[in-house]
Amino acid sequence: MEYNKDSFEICLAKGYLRPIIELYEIPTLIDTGAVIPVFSFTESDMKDIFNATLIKNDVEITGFGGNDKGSVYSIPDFSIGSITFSPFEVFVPEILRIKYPILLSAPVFYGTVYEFDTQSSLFKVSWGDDYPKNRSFKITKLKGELYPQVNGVLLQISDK
Amino acid sequence: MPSTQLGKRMSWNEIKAVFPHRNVGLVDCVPNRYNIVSAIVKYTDKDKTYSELIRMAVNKEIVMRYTTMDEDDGIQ
Repeated sequence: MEYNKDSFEICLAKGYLRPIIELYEIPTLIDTGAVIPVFSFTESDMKDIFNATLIKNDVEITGFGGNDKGSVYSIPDFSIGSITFSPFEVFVPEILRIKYPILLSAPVFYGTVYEFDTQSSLFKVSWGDDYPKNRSFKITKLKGELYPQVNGVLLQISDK
Repeated sequence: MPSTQLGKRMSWNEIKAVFPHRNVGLVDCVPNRYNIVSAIVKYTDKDKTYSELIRMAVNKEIVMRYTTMDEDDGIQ
C-alpha cells in the first residue's frame, strides 16, 4: 500500500450556497452532514458509466430528509482528485435525487483535512503520510442501519 | 414558451427564470463551467431524459446543472 503525504484541489462551482464540485463532469454535492454517498443514476447508467455491480437490493437509509429506499452498488474504481477508491460502494435511491446526481458524504474524506475555500472557490483536501492514497469504501449493514467502512475501519457512532 | 429560448445565449439568472426547477444541458459557458455568468441552453429535461443528460455530461457534450439547486422546492 502506498503512503504519500499529498493534497489536491477541485474547483467549487460559483453561485451556489452549497458546496458543488464536478466529478466525471457530473454535478456533485459535498454533504458533510451525510454518512453514506448517494448516486442518483439508473441501473444501466451505474453499469455503463461506472462499471458498477449491484451488491444489495431493498436497503433503506435515514437522513434529515426522511427515509430513502434503494440499493447498494459497488464501483470498482472511483477517483476524487488524487485519491482512488477500490472499491467504492454507494447507495442508489429508488427515487433519483435529480438536483445532485452525486452526493459525497463526510466519511468519504475520513483521515483527510478538507476545507471549502470560498474566497478562491476551491475544495482543498490534504492528508499526512500515515494515510494511503488508495482506499476502499464499503457499506456495511449493522442492526438495520448502513455504516461506512473505510480501509476496513467501520465508522459508527460511539457509545461513550 | 421556454423551448423557443433553446439555443440562445442567456444570463444564468435568465436561465433560472425561464427554466425553473429543471436540469439543463448548457454549452458555451462564459467565463467557464465553474462560474456560469451566461450560457446557451441546448437541452432541458423536457427534451431529454435525466439519463440522457447525464450521459451527455459524462461525454463532455454539455454542462449539466439543476437551475434551482439551492431552493428547497420539494425536489430532492
